[in-house]
Amino acid sequence: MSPLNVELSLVYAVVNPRLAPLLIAAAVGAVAAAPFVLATIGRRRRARARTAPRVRIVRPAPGPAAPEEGAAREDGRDDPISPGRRRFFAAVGAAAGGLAAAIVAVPFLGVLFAPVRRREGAVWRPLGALDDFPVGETVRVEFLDPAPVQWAGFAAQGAAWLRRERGQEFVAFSAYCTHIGCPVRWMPDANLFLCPCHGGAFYQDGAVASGPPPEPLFRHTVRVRDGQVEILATPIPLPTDRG
Amino acid sequence: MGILKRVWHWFDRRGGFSETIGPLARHKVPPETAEGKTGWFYVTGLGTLAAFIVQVVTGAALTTKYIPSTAHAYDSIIFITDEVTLGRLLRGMHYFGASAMVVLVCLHLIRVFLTGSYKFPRELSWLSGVALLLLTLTMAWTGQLLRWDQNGVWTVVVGAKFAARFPLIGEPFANFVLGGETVGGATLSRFFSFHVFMFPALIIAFVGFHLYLVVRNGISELPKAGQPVDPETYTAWYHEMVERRGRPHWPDAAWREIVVGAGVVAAIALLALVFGPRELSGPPDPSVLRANPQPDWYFRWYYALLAYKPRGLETFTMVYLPALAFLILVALPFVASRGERSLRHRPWAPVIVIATATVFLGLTVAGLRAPWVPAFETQPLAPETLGLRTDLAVEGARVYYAEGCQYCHAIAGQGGQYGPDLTDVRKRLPPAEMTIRIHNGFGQMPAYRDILTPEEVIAIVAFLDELSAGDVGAGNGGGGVERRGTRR
Repeated sequence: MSPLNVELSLVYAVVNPRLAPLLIAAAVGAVAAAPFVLATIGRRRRARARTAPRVRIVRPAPGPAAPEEGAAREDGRDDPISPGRRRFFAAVGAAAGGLAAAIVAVPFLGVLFAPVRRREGAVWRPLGALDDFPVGETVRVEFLDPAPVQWAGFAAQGAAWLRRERGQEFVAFSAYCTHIGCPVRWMPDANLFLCPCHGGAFYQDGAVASGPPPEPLFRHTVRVRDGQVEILATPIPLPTDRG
Repeated sequence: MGILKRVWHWFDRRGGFSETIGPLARHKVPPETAEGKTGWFYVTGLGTLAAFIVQVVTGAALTTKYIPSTAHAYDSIIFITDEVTLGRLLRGMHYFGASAMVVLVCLHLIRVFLTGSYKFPRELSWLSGVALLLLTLTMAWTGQLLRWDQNGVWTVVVGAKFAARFPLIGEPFANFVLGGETVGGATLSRFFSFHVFMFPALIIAFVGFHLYLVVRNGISELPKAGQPVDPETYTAWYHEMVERRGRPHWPDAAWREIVVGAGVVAAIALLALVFGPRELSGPPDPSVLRANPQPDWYFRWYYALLAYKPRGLETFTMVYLPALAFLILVALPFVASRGERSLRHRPWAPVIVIATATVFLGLTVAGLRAPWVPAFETQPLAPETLGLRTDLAVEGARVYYAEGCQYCHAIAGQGGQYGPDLTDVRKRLPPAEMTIRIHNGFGQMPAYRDILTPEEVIAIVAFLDELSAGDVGAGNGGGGVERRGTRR
């Protein structure tokens, strides 16, 4: 994981299930304290306003000014609620609403962002017996994703282009075009990988031959073990230049 | 008093509808928005809303049969299209409804820009409109994906590749899009949730805010030269003007909007009946690599842009250019929140609209033609129809097709459009130059020095040099090839 992703630590904190109760507790605590903090700030500000010299701010009057309820009753003895208490009520209301939103947000964000943590899962997948691959021929191979879920159906399959160079030496190219990710296909007649989306072309060694692709085809790691060819199934290769 | 009237009164006394909604519906609007020809400018917003309502209704119906599972979605769409009563019409309406919404939201944007309606006090209307434009495009994109055919699968992959290019958050963003590291079991349900719950909820919220603002600030009056917007006086002036000369929105202006909205709905249904939904493009198996993914028509302009952009500008085109366009849209009401709204004082406004529309339309046409796509299905032309005289040229014709030159080059109308048409190439290039270009590549032409043997190159050049050469003297291509070959 690149150090740049540290910016996402907040997201990761939300994603981490062990931290969820802690986050909720923190939210509850913060929200419980909020009314008192807000009320205190309000008191200070009013105190400052009383001592500070008056500055007249002239604004265009937005229609006939409706008398504020609290202000109208300021001197009325029959209002049982003092302005300070009323402000406190407002702060309690806002804090309770915020608390409710925060509580619901934790599981929502947690599940929504759960996939951002890459599991670094590269898995060896079998491709077939060594003798099934004639030397010099580029063939399509299918293999299971590194971390498939049971119900994925055909979405669990990936594919790549594999060529036996000689003996036990293989080369495998990811089928994802390095331009925007469309599937390149090997054209045995032209000896090129061609991309159907924007006409990108790659030579048989994966180097860019033509069109918009910015980099050579990504290569998979292949090995031969006990006469079986295996490919290292990886996450979808992402562009290397993020500039 | 009739029974209906009494029921209405029962509800109205408790719901207070005629007290609240009545005055709201009849709020006064500037006269020119409610009369004659000028009234017809003010219908694009409701037209968009009508298309959105079609989308919500048809979309809700689609979810009763659609299965948001990577393994089953494709089959469920085939089932909806072929088996379900009116399913084909339903899918067609959802497809053309999306098209209508994209078109109308753009028309609405153009109208608001041309009338300068984004100025004070309507900046928030513009900004919420920008959000709705983005949401509409996102819905169009996720909708194309939910079709979950071959196109849908590769749409996700392309989306992940785009996301990966974002600075700092690239990799996590790509995983966020995929719902994991590959296209897999979690991918589709994710987009189903986005497309069906989250984005529509956001759209409804923004539409509500947008409409609230229209009532709050009033629809903008038709701009008049010499009446610049001054935030100090505009609101008071507007309210006074509307009070004095305004006309009730319902029904004076609203009937036009509703007629247009109904026209939009009817057009969507008609198009769906005549053309049907967009055809599915093969099963969503990511291991099938003989796929031709192409976006729906409303993204073809961008598809073309990606083909034409110079190599090296990937991240710029995929991240910074859209971000820049977004920033320009957001900045507009802040940069130009006051002053003249009339086109007479904003001559650049129609110029910008026409220039932008031309670029978009041109790119869309290019994207629909997509000449850069290799012509995988081209059949070889019979050598005897090409007027070839030498055996070498006939051999060249065989090699030409056997080596796939026709994927990018056309001869006599057969073949791809990516490279130049080679029917008359001998009139443009001497054989030596052809050889050099085949050998080393040229522009977008790959270098074939490691793919073709020298003999094959000689044959191809002889073939190209004899093409349409029936009326010209004997070609001397061989010499050129020989020279080039020996020099190497």
